[in-house]
Formats: sequence, structure tokens, C-alpha cells
Amino acid sequence: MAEDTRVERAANLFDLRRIIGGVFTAWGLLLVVLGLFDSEEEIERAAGVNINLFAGLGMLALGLLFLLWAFTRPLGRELAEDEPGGPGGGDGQGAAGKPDPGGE
Amino acid sequence: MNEVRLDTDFVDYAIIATYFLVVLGVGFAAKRYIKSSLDYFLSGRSLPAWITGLAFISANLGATEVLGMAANGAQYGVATVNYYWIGAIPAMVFLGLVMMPFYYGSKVRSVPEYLLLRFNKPSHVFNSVTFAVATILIAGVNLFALALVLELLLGWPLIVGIIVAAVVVAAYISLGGLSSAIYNEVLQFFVILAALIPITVVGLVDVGGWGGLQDRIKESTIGEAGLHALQGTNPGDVTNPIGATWIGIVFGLGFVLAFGYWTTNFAEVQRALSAKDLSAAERTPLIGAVPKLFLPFVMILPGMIALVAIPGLGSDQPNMEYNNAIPLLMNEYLPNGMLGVALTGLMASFMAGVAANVSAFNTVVTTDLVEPYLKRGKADEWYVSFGRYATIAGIAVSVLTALIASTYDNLMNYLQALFSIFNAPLFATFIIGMFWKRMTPAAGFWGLIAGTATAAGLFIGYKAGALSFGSDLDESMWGAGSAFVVVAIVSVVVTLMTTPKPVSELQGLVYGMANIDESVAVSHRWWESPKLLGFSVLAGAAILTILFW
Repeated sequence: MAEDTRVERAANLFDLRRIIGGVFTAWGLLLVVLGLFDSEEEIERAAGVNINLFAGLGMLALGLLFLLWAFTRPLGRELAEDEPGGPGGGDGQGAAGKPDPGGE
Repeated sequence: MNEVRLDTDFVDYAIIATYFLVVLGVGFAAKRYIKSSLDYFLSGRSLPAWITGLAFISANLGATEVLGMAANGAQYGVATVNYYWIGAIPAMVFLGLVMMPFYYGSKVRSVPEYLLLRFNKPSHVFNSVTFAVATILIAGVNLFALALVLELLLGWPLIVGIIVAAVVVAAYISLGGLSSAIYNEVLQFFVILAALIPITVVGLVDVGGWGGLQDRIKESTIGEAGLHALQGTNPGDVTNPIGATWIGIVFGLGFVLAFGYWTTNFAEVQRALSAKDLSAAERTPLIGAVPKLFLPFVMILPGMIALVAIPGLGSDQPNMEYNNAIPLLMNEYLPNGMLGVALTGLMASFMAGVAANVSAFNTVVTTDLVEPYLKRGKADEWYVSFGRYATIAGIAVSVLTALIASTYDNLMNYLQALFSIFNAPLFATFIIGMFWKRMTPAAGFWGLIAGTATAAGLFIGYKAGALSFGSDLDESMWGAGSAFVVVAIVSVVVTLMTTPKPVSELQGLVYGMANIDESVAVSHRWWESPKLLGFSVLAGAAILTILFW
């Protein structure tokens, strides 16, 4: 059991969805703040689009979606069964064990 | 020079720095997780399809792809979409639905290893060596292209750019192996999109939307013909800017070059082999094909925008090469902040290209050359640590090949020449060996040698001036085509003179004898059906091609 929780924790730490979510949330916030304070001149340059603000909002949304997905369906409990969205998908079966490649 | 130099500030550098820290962090996290050589070289065959699928497409989103496709968009207009909807999607679907059962089902760890099982040791060694050489050359191209952009945009000296990029990639791959490469590729995929989408949106607003862009393209150098994918490609009456007939596009580009690249390039196939089961492996290239359908809208479109928005693009003025379309747009439109994201996206795309090749290189060198032939029967940990050294050595050599690449003025053409020499003969050997049980081991070996020699001979003859072709690209098309034909002829002739392998040894390796993977029997939801996904993507490509006819 101890082994299980250790592997689960490692898996969560290493969950790509949290990494992508974290990076995009941070960048998104940064760009939104920059966008709010961008000068007229800078907006003029980007064809009148406040691109920092809009791109920042988009990236923030993407980042939050990834975080939401990662925290509602933690990887540790569904290492084997990890497709998104399917209700009743990851039932935790074979949690710690990656499928054995067999062969050879 | 200075007119292209970006006006970066500390915010941009902060964004770039966080990205590099995360990339290295993934390497360290992956290192803790690695327990065996299978973990290191194939991610323990444990990854879900969405990850391998995005890594699959990201491995292809390297330097030449991002800059090159925008350049082609500026130069040829809409016709560039043929590289996607005809020149990639069908090959990706073929890899997923037809070839993956043999690759994944036979449990090989690499493309060359399939040749060992299907044919014999000499063909295995020959292909492993040529593959290792080719990947290092290609990794060098990506390193060089990255350094070029860093020099252009930030003023970093070329050699500094090459070495910084090489050190970062070496660090995260030697630490985390394929997992680290793949995880970073998925992250890179999103970062590249975060760079390209805003450029496209701002550009479109600036030129007055799609309608405005069409009007201004009609008045530009490529004119009305630049707005069509396949119009004006009838033989004898070619008016399309790409200068090819539909026969050349469908057979040369869509069949020989595309199928050769997508189905036998281990840097791509390795991503699918690391999937957790056969269904996920089959879906890897298919999931990758979905973004591939839509990438033209953020890769070719910016090139077309640059053609009308950047006066003098494509002229002889300094820094106005088509290849600089994306950097020039960044400079034109993006404020600090978004600029940092876009720069990070460019760096991410170059590193994705280098990483894909280097992680494939260390796998082939370790599992296909060292383990079976040079140092047999060592402990598993020995091979993992050898893989780490192979990574570092591979990157060191690719720094040198980056310097070779720096002597070519058109990188895309250099790459196409490499593909015609290394991939086209391999693809021919595969396709014949997979569908023709009788093909003998000797035929596989001699076919490969003859095909590689043919394409290499044409290339050398062309470079030495003994043979003449319409263009560099024309040479690669002919090289690939003739390599294919030579392999076919040699394979048939040698097969008729030698004895085939007993059918019992071909289980799981040839068409009609695929291994059934038990794990697939476990319930898969209907929307996870590879066939449904594959045919939907094909239909999407057909519809888009007709829309932009």
C-alpha cells in the first residue's frame, strides 16, 4: 500500500495536465495584467487589438481548464484508465501498475 | 539587421525563463519515475493516446515546419495546403489504421527492429546506422535554424544560440528519456499555438479579414492563383504558383514523400509505440491528424498575411527572405508580453524538432546497435546510462552537423534531400515486405542498399553538376521516386532467386497475420474507435480541400 501512495504521489506530481495548466494560468494572468495597462500606442501597433488582454484571457481559460481536468480526475487513481470525460471510466483498477509490456 | 531586431523587455525574458525552467523541471520529474530501459526508451509503453497524439504532431512541428510553411504560404499562397490535406493526412491515417498493428503488435521497440524480425541482421544494422546518421543531420538542421532566429531577433551570436539550445535539450532528454521528450512536446504544442494564433488574429484584423486578405492577394505577386489549392494543376496547363501538376502532388508528394516520412520515420513512430495499448497506438497518428487538419490556418495564413502586410517580403533586401515571415510579423504587431510568448513558441518548436530526433537517435543506437551487437547481456541500468551518454554524444555531434547545415541557403530543400535518401527506400522496403509474404530477407537487404544508393547517387550527381533538375525540390522528388522504383525492382528480382522465411516466423509481421493484442478486448467506448476517427479525419481533409479548391 505504501508503494501505491508513493507511486500515486509521483504520478500526480508528474501529471502533464497540471504542468500545462500551471504554465498557462501563470502566463495568462501576466498577459491580462499587461493588457490592462498597455498604452494606446502599443494597441495601435497590433491593428487596434489589445492582443495581450485577449491572448491572456484565452491562455488563462486553457490553463484553468487543464487544472480543472487534472484535479477532478487525478492521475494517481487512474494510471491505466485515463481517457477524459467518460463517466465511470477510471475506476482505479490497476492504479499503480503500468500495463506490463510483456513479450521478450 | 536592426530593423528586425525585437524590442524585447524583461517581461519577455521572464516568460522565456519560466518556460525553460518548466522544461528542465519535467526532465527532473521524469528522471525520478524511470526504473527500466523500457521506461527510458519507450516511456514504459504506458502513455494515453491524447498525450502520444499531441507529441506525434509536435515532433513534426519543428523549425522548418513552422518557418518553412509560413514561407511557402507567402510564396505559393493557398496551394501550400496540399502539404497538409493531401501530403500528410492520408499517410497519417494509413500509419494508424494499416501499419500500427504490425509495429505495435509485434512489440518491436524501433522501426529498424521491425526489419530485424521481418528480414535479417544485415538489413537491421544497415537501417539502424543510416537512421542514426539521418536523425543527427536533421537535429543539426533544427539547431541551426533556431540559432539563425535567435541571431536575427535577439542579436545572439550564432554559435551561442546553437550551444544554449543544445544544452537545454541535452539536459532534459538525458535526464528523463522519452517521457521527458514527449511531455515537453505536448507542452510545446500548446505554446506553439499560443504563439501562432494571436499573430494570425492580429494579422487578419490588420488586412481586413479573410475578404480583405483575398482582395489584396489578388493584387499581389501571386495573384488570383494564390487563392486555390488545386486549380490550375492540369498537366500541360499549370498555372498554380507551386508549379506542379495534380499528378505530381498526389503521387510524388501525397504518396512517396508523405508516406515515406510519416510511416517509417522512427522519430514519429516512436511516439505511437510508447502508447499504452494497441488502440491508443493506432489513435496516436489519428489524434495527431486532427490538429494537422487545422494547422494551415495558423501556419500558412500568417505567411499570406505577411505577403500583403510586410512590404518587400521575398525581395532581395536584407532579412526579407520568405523564411522570416513569422519573425517579421512578430516584430510588426506584438507588444511586450505577447512577444515573449511568441518567442518562446518559436524556441519550443525548434526544441521539439531537436528533441524528437535525439530521443529517437538514443533509442536506435542503444537498443538496435549496442545492445544486440556490441555489448550484449549487460544489466538494464547499464543500457539506461548508455542511453544518457548517447543522448549527449548525439547532441554534441548535431552541433557539428548544424555547422554543415549552415552552408545550405535553403534548409527545407536540404531536409527534403535527406528524406529522399533515407526515407523513400525504407518506405518501399516496408510496404513490399508487409504486403508480400514471399519477399526474402536478402531482398530486403539488397533492396534497401540499392534504393539508398540510387537516391544518394542522384543527389551527389546533382550537387556535383553531372545531372540537372528543374530545382532542388524537383531533385528530391525524382530521388524519392527512383529510389522507390529501384527498391521494388531489386526486391522482386532478389526474392525470385533466394529462399523466403518460413511463414511461421512471420506471425505478427505481415499483412493478414497481425497479432491480436488482448488488452484491446477491454471495452473501448465507441468514440475511441480508430476506424471512426481515421475516416472522419480523411473526410475532413477532403471537405477542406474542396472548400479551398
